[in-house]
This record gives sequence, C-alpha cells and structure tokens, in this order.
Amino acid sequence: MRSYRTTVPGTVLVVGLVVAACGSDAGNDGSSAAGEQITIAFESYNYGTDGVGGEGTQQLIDAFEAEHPNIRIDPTGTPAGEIHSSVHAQAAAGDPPDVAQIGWSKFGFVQENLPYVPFEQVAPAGELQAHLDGMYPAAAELGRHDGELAGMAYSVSTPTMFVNADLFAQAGLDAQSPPTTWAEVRDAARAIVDTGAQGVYVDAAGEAKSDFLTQSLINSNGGRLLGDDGSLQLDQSPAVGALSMLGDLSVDGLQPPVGEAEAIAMFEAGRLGMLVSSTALLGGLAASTDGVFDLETAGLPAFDGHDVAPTVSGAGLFVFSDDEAEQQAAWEFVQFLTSARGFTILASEIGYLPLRPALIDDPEYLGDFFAEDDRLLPTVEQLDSLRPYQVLPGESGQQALELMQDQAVAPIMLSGADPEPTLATVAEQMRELLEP
Amino acid sequence: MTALTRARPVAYLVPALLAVGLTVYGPLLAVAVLSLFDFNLTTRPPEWTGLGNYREIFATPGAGQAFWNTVGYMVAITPLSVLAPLTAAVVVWRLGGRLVAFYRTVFFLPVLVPPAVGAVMWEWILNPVLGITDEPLGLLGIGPVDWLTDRVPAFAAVTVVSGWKVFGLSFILFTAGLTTIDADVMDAARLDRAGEWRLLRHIVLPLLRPMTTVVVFATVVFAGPWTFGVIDVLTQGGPAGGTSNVYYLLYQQAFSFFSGGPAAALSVLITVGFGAVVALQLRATR
Repeated sequence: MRSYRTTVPGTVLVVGLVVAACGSDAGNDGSSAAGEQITIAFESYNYGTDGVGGEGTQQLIDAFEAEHPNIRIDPTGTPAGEIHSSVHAQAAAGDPPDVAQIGWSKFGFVQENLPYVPFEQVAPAGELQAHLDGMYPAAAELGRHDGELAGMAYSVSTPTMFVNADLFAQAGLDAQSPPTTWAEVRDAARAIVDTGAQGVYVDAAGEAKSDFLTQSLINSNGGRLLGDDGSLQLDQSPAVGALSMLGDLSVDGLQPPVGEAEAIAMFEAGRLGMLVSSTALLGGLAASTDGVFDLETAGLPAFDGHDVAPTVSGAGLFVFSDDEAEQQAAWEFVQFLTSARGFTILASEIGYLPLRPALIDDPEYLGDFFAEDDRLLPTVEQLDSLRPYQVLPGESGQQALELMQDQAVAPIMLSGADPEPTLATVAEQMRELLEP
Repeated sequence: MTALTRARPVAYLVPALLAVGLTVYGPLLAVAVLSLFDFNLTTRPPEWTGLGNYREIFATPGAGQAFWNTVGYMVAITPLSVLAPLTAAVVVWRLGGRLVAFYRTVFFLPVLVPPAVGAVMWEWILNPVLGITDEPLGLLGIGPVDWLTDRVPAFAAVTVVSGWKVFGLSFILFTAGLTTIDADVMDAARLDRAGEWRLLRHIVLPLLRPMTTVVVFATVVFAGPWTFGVIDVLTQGGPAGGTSNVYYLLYQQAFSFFSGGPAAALSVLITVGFGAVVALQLRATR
C-alpha cells in the first residue's frame, strides 16, 4: 500500500513535468531555445483556394520563408466572408492569428471588435514611413483609423469589366472598343442577348456582403454613401439612380437573376457577355477561359455626365500579435507581402493591383508582365480616380452594411424591387442602426 | 421503504445530472445572464443593459418576418416530413415483395447526402439559366421561375429542399412503426371483410399514432434547424429576408454582427418559445 501511495504521486509528478516541458515548448509558438526560430500564424482568404489565388499566396509564403529562414509561416485559409468572424472567435479565445487578411468591407467591424495592433506600434521607428513611400498615397491611407495605420493595403482591387470577345464578335460588337458608359453597356448587352447568350452581370450582391461595387456605382453617379457630415445618403437621387440602373438591367432581361457563383460560372462557360466584378478575378478567369474564348477587360463604365469614381475592394493586412518577437516577425512578413517583390507576385499571379506604380514599367518587376498582358492596365489606370472606401461607423455598422446589401441591393438587382421605396425604407432602418 | 432506500437511486443519477447540467443547463443559464449585458467578447467589457437586448432584438429589421417564416416553415414542411413519407411507407409496406429493400434504400438515400452538398446540388438544379426546372415547367405552360431571387418561389425552394432531406428519415420511422403492427390483427380484420381503405383507416393509422406523434413533434421542433443549412447555402435569408427564420437571424446576430447581447436574448426567446410549444404539444398528446 505504501509503495502504491508513493508510486502514483511520483508518476503524476513525472507526467506533469513532461507535460509542462512540452507545454512550455509549445507556448513559444515554435521558437527554439535560442529564440531565433519563430512561427507566426497567417489567416488568409486566398490561401488554400483552388487556382491562382491559392498558388500565388503559397508562392508569397515560400519566397518569404526563403528570405527569412528564421521565420516560419503557419497559414490558414478562411472564406472572405467569414474571416473577420473567424479572427473574432480566436481573439475571444485569447489566441488571434498574428497576421490576417481582412476585407475592406469589414474594416468597420475590425475597428469596433478586433484587437488589432496599429502599425505605428509594430514597426520600428522610421521603418513604417519608409515602407509606405512609393505606394499610391490613396492606397497607403486606406487602412488609417483615428490617425493610426490599422491595416496595410495588400490585396487591393477595383471594379473591372471582363468581356467575352467572342460573344462580342457574334453580336457584331468590337471587344477592342468595349462600352465605356452604362448606356453603352445596355446596348451591347441587348445585342448579345439577341444572339441567345446572357448580356451582363454586375457582381454587386455577392455572398461576401461587400459593398464596394455599390459604393463605386453611387460614387460614379455623383453621390456618396455617406455625406461630408457622415449622414447616410442611400435614399438620395445619385444612389437611387445608380441602383435603378442595376435593377433595370435585370428587369429588361439584360442581366440574369442569379447569384455571384452562378454568374461567374456562366461567364467562364462562355455564356455571359460582360461581367463587372473585382480585378481579383482576373488571374482565375484568364486561366479558366484560356481556350474557351478570348478574354478582354475594360474599366468600370461611367454614368452619362459623370466621371467614373470607383472605390476599392480586396483586403488589408492586420496584425494581432501581442508578443514583441512575434510583432517583429509579423512586421517582416507584412513588409515582404507589400514590397516590390510581393506586389509583383500579387499582380502577376493573382491579379491584384500593384500598389507601387514604379513597378509597372520596371523590367525587374512587372515591366515584362504588362508588356505581354495588359488586361490589368484598365484598372491600374482607374487608381487615379479612386475614392476612399467609406466605412459605416459604430457597433452596428456591419449589420447596417449587410442590411443594405441584403434588403436593398440584392432585391433591387435580382428580384425587381422598386428602387425608390426600397432604398427609403432600408435607409431609415440603417439610420436607426447607425445612431450613436 | 426507508428514506435511505428511496434516496439511493438518486446517487446513480448524479453523473447524468452533472453531465446534463454542465453541458445544457449551465450554458443555458449563462446565456440567460449574458442576455442582460452588452458585449462583443473582445474589445468591450460586458456592460449591463437589462432588457435592452430584448428590445433591440424585437426592433431588429426583419425579426418579425423571421418569426412568421419560422411558423410558415413548420406548416409548409409538414406534407413533406409527415404526409408524404407516411404514404410512401404504407405503400411500400403493402406492396411487399423483393423490391422493398430497394425502395427503402432509394427513399432513405437523401438523408445520407451532407446538407451543404445537397443544397449546392439544388442551387444548380434551380438555377434559372443553367438549371433543369425550366423545361418541364415550360411544358406545363409555366414561364421561367426565379427560384432563389423571388420571395415566394425562394420560400418554396427552401421548404422543398429541406423536406427532401427529411423525407427519408420520416419514411424509415414510419416503416419501423409499420413493422410493429401484428399481422394477426390485419388477418382478423380481413376475415371480417375489411377492405384496404378500412384497414388503413381503422387499424394501420391508429396503430401508427405513437410514431406519427413523434414525427409531427420532430417537425415542429426541428423545422427551424432543418431549414437553417439550406437557407445559408441557397439564399442567405434573402430575397429581402423572405426566407430567413429565427435560427438564421440568431446566426447573423451572433456570427456576422457579433452582437453578443441581442444574440443571447434571441437564444433565450427561442428556447422559451419552443419550450412552450413542446409543453403544449405534450399536453395535447397525453
């Protein structure tokens, strides 16, 4: 009995020591005893996806790890529409990823709910400004909140119009002179529909609940989602006009009343003439339509009498590490992803915009790429007319955004809802949600 | 029987009571308490709001519609979850023969299809351009239907797809119930010259009543959860909230907006509401 009593506590002690030893090892997140090796978690909506998005992201990680052998990236792939909630759940459990790629349409949610670390606290003094030098100023400022840089512009895209040149030719249209206004888009869509194919699809009500196309259309019709005083302008005439155009396309049979995934599949199958969506689709569409039809691109069409004024889609990089060594490694990683080399891979492999204009003509970076394939250029040229993405403020900003997309944009675009009363009703509900 | 003898079985119940308490009633109590606070689990510490979250959830756009849709799904799915499987089970049972196992397999198979896979399959079937519903409808003189973007067809689509998943389960339950019917009872009725309709009406259906009660009970309680996955894949509650239900609203509050307090309040309301329905149902079937 005596030996039993001494053996059991002894065994527990030994097991405890072993577990503690393993625990302390794991607690260093992969760091070696010397503290030189470090692993950081990276959550991305491109990582792990089929096709160029996943391949390009893996290429970025591989290139970074080759340059920084002491830092290992532990990547996780999460769908774009869920990544903010995934990070939130991990943050609630006290273990958020070190770096996350979160969409600009969720920036309001990030500000209110996620414990991000501003880059002023992550980057050593002087390095941040030096890194931002050379980026498009509007892009560099995208992630600024309360005077601090909350997110680093990374996978940024603007609206673009993908054109099926074969369907254009069948309809007697010239894909080299694509429509530049919505009136011309309607005419072209009508001609394509007359051949038996589908005309145009504006990807404004996608499952990711992003409002970047909604904002781009309102901006381009002379309005803003939020006025200078921060008041909601969704029921004002520019917004009503912009969304009426969207609804009329469906009502007149020029736009199929389908979801985003089906529309993209139809375009890839060569059954849709024009697809207005994010530049980010370029890499995937270029690959999937190769041999199916000739793919061309154009900028976002304008409304008559107004200059085109798109805003951005895509995502920024946010840092959540609370450990100094991990923050330093995260900063190295973010710097690389948004460096000349990082943007070269992002643009040439996936189709995101190179946010450093000097890369476009530089043969060391994207010069040869653009010389061979200029289909990204129309959206690069749009960067000069870029309008900042507007974040719906407050705790319920995300709810208001989804309300707008689900209760106004989608019904007007796909279900024939009357734009004016629909927008009036939804705007009133949104104002209640946005009240401080 | 002494007090000690009477108390002894309680000791055997303790592990089960502990498990249920810790995994069900403990969290339920925690949610009830949390429903009185405003919190987002990360950047804001919980703040007392009293009944504010309940007022907020009642004022949430689309909450009323989600409630009525929940009731609507309960009623609309009943033909697919009770009447159709009951009819199919009885027909297969009466047919007998070597093909019974084949029919049972065919009817049960949709249950084995993962919900998300089934919903994606239906998404393509119902696609107004690439789907396969237009041709047969056209033969009936019905024009193209926008199944997922028009309110009424979308509600019908969610109901049918959910019912398609549940049909097989109810079918198997009714089949199990039918196997318990004593063949002697049926033979005795036949000796009394009872026809098939009389057998069904006066023997089969009454003897199936306990199983029918279980299936109806399951339909009322689980119609919401059954439709949730289909809503998430097919419509995301749209168009304009036309297919949402209280479970999808709860999911949005909790995991899209991270409005912890209102989500907890809605959880309490759902639990209390369905608790009342179950109590009424139990009383009615006692």
